[in-house]
Amino acid sequence: MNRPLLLALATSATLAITACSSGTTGSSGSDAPAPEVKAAQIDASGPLAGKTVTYIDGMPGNALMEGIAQGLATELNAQGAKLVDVYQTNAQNQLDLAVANQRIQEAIAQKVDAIVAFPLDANAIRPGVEAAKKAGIPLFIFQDLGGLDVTGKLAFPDQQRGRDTGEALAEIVGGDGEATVLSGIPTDNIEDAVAGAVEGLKAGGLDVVGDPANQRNLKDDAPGAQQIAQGIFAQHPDLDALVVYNSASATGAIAAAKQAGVLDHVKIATMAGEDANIAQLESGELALSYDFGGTNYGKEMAGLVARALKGEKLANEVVEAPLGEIFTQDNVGDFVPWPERIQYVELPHTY
Amino acid sequence: MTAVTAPDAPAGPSGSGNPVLDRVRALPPTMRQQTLFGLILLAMFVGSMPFVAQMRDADYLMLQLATYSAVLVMALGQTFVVLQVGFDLSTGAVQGFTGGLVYLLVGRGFTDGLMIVGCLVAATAIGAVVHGLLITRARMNYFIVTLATYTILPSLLRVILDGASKPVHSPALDTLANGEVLGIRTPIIVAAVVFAVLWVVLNRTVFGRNVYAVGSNREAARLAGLPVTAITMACYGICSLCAGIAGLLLLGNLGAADPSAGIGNEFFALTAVLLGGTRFSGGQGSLFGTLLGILFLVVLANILLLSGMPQFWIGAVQGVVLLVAVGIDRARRD
Repeated sequence: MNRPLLLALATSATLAITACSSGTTGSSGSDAPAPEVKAAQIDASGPLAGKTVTYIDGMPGNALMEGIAQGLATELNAQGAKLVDVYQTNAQNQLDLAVANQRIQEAIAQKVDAIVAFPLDANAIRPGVEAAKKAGIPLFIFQDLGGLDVTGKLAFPDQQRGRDTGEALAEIVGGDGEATVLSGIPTDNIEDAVAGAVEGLKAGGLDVVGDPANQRNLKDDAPGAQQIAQGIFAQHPDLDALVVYNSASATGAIAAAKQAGVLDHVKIATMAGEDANIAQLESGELALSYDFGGTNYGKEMAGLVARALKGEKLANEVVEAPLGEIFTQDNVGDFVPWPERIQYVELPHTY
Repeated sequence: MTAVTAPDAPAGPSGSGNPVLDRVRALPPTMRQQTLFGLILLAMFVGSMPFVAQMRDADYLMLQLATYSAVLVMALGQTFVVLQVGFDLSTGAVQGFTGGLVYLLVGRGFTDGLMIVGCLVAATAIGAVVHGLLITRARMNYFIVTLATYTILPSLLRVILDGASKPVHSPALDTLANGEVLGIRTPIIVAAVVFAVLWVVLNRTVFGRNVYAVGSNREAARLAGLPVTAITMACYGICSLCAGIAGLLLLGNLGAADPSAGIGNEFFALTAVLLGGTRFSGGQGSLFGTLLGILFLVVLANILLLSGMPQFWIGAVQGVVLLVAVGIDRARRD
């Protein structure tokens, strides 16, 4: 092997080692150190001692899903139950609609005491719901998806979240001007949130321009949102406010606004803020970030699961998830990252 | 005896009586095809101007060129690989992974200059060493090799970023992606420089001629004593280097490293390469054709999006356009 080749190999090996040695906590100087994740402490004397609950999660790295899982674990572990966290990802580590049913079947085979699922699609999870019912295992889902006959549901206040975001953004821009919404893949919760945002912007005195149904970030990532936002800024040069449906879209919309030279004028809000958005809020690039409070969703669901495990007969019981909190430049100093609100623990991913 | 005509040789006078037509017919086939493609692109652009206001807005058009500069750079690199017969499925993954490397290196206090050099060396090594060696020495199929990195790199990126988008501040990348020089957005300048350098490499060097030779007939090139292995490795290296540059532009533009960044761009870039007349079977094509391919896709996407066409249809239209363009080219060649 010649010398340049050896040099290239050595370089790539060095970089690979550097990458691997970073661990999973990240290492950018711009980030605060990640809070310590501790081993789960299960209270063996709790009322749910000996019970196992499976949570059919989305995919690793999603802040909302992780927050929900941690909220569930906090409450269930405190009552003595073990939470097993499994993902809806396939062999390629991609989200896969078909995997939820497989996970439910696996949980049934393990004779768990309850199953909690975050359905990606109401129709896709139906066979699993039927299987759990047949096996007599209580099954709970996040979101009030119609047509699914389950033990209990935690309804997301998506429309209200959108409405609150829209109204608060309208107030920031002074209740006058043009606004629109950058939407996403048409799932029930995104559609509800977008409808709520349109209502909120109008209620706040803004004229809603454009068509959110045709301003979708179908790639669900920042570059996808950037392209759609460029089109929005070009078509509506007098735009004053833009609501986006998720965290990555805020990053994309900010990049587009920067490129178009309108970042000083257009106020951008996200209906699903994450830590990265808080940094944008602090720098003034983002006007508003709606914080789900995902850990609270998990805790609320744990309460519902506990009721069933303690013997209460439930059927399609719907519990409303708590509303989140709006952060702007006025109160961004009060923001506490989710992992600091509760102690994040190591979750088992196998039985 | 049958006369053998080189692929780009003039077709000879046809004597149609129309001097313009005769001049067009006298052009080499590749140039003739690109002229026709360029005229279609121009007609599409000019035709859309009365209906789509943004197509008359110079600032908006420059913004679009700046936005697609990264994918143009990626497509230029991909052209080298396709010309020597191959395809790099991992360019989008390399683009995204570069963002992860920037996040790591900035976090470890590297200066901007060192960080950029480190990222580009790493990207080049992925192409030249990992892809190049596995394809040429281990004789693994290029599709399988690049499919593997297409899977591995996004996974590593998620590990590096802990699955979530991370803000990254680099003044150099911010200037590279969002700056202006003499009123021209810097990504356009970066793409122009990359285009010029690669054009010289492909059209004015022995290496460039060898790329065409290897693509036309690999075995004949080997028998003629050309360093086929080194040429293949270099082409994959150039391709990954370009994907790395595209990654730096993307990160500078977004100000964040994103775990899903880049994925899907490889197909957009390949579409542009094929639309531009580069043959999947290698040996024929040009960087200018790739540039036209990107411009065509950008104009088409903007017309569709800004004219209010339902978004769900846009991908279908782009796919049909690719099929029609390549189909016409194939029929013409046959």
